[in-house]
Amino acid sequence: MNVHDRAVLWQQLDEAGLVTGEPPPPNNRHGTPFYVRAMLGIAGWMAAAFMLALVGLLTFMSGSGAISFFVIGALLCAAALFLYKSAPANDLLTQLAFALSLAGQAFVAFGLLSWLESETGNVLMFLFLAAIEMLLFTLSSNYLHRAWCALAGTGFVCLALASAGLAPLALPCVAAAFAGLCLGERRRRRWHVLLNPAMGAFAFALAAMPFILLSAMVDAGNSEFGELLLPLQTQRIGLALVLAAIAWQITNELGARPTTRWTLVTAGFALALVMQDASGITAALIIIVVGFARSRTFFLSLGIAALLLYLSHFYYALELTLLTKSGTLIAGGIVLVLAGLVLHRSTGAAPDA
Amino acid sequence: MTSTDVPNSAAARTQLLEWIEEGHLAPAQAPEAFILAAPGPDTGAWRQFLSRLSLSLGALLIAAGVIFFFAYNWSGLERLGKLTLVQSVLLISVALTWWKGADAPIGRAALIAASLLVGATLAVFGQIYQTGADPWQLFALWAAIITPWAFTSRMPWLLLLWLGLLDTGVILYLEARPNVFGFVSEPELLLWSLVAINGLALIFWESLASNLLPWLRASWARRLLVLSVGIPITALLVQSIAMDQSSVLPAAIGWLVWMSASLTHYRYLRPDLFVLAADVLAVIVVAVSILLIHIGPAELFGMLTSTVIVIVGLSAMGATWLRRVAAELDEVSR
Repeated sequence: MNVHDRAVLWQQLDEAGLVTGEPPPPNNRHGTPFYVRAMLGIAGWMAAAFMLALVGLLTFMSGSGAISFFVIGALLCAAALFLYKSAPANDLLTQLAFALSLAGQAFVAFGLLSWLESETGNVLMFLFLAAIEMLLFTLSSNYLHRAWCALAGTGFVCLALASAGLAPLALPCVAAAFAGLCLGERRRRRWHVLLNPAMGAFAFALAAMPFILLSAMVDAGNSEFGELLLPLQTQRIGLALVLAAIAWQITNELGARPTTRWTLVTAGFALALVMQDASGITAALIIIVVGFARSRTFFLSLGIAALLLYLSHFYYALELTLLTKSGTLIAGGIVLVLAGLVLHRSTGAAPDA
Repeated sequence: MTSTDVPNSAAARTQLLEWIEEGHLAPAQAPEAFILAAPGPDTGAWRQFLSRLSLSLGALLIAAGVIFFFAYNWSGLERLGKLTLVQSVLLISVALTWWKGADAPIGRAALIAASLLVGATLAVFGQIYQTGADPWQLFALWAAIITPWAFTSRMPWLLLLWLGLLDTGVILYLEARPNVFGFVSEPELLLWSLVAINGLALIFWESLASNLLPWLRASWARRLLVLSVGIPITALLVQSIAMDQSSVLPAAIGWLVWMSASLTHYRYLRPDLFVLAADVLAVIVVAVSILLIHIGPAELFGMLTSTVIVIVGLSAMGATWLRRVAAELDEVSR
């Protein structure tokens, strides 16, 4: 943000009685151009790769057991947290720390798997790993590291759900967490800095999960995680409820009339059910709508990219025939076009060129 | 300066989070601060957004559904039906470009679609009639057909697409005839051809951008071109070092010439920090390659340790230099 805009923003806050005094001096932590930071980041990763090759070589040569992997992993994570605390503005060291932390988490997971002697789903193991990610998330002071820990923790929780036969709950839960965090930002009175990276992580998870879940869940009979305890309809209804809840929250903020509110809530619910075989489109729509509600351009772009990628992926997915997919898309498209025409007339605007 | 000016919402939000972290803004005041700094869209903006989103997404889904439907029935379509379908869409795109003009957003999108559909048409033609043509001929013909559009559309995207088709055609040609330059191995030949074609393209691009064609000054396009030369020439040198071939000398000379030209031009004539950062990264990659090959697996620990030290050292030196260059450029621009 440039000096003028910072001053304007501070003045607005001052006039509202939220702050007093002169604007604080600018923090030049992010003054380094992006390209330089990217170059340093790549170099940090390269250095970490060789360093970790050295650590891995020493570990395997010593014939260590599961506990050793666990301890080494914990030490690597501790080293990473130390680097973050002691050199928060050094791009090379922060990327080195990130790579060390990733390796540490891998060592811990490997140690745990070796100890449990299980390569397939284990609910407690995944929950334990999720708890480790949450601990790292809380202790870390770096945005990227926190975002990664939130993303990894989300993944482990979803794996735990899948292991317990509750996979259809995963996508709606992530969607609800993302929408709840973003839309609830204006009501929270604490933990803004802590939870900020989690929003990005949940958005990525929401965008990526439909690519993974479609195969795993529709083909549930051959799933590595065993039988589903909940029907697939649970995911579809869950997503529909999340979209309806978002519509409710936004219309509430705008002070919309009850008729309008219930119309939009019902429309959101119905659209999600029509698109039930293409959950990725509903997920992308959630990201786009929440992104617009909070003026988050990044989420808008992510949602649009996820939508386009999902359509490409949807074409090649083998679980449904092209005819079924064609029907789903056309039905959903017609519903949207009709809704769009109704809204377009109600705005009274001239048609776009 | 007035308090009615509204800073960019995303930047304002980031600034607020920074002030909360530094303790200048109490977390309890955050909700009011967020509403003040980034009030969000009003009812009218929502109606417009939802209307546009519904119409455009609906149209996209219907179009995708139609494509899926035709794909489902593709094998059942007659030859004439397949050709008619593809060519109809191509003609519609061309007609839309002509109607709206290549300066309008819809016209530009239609022209890009038409350029891509030329390739689809040629592919369908080749599939139906089994002409026996080599793959390189498809790309060469595709590039030839869209040449007038690429050079008159004033769209860097289209020109880069054209260059990409040219590269692909040449690579496929050389893959089919690897002995055309008998003294050069196939992988090296492909990389040298990329360096030559893209290098020439970059020289022309920079010359025309400075003097004649302002639409070529888009920095992202120039940077893509620079990468299309820098990556193959660096890969060529790394490969030569790794394979311990007699071609190390020409590759090294080529790389040094490229680095000298790139550093001089993008430091003093057309300053671009992105290119300079890429050059620093290339130096690191080459240095690491030399270390890995010449110390070798016999002294594994020494190799790994010295590699880490070299990477950290070169990165720190490179970053210091780049920050100094950035500061000088900022000073000049003021």
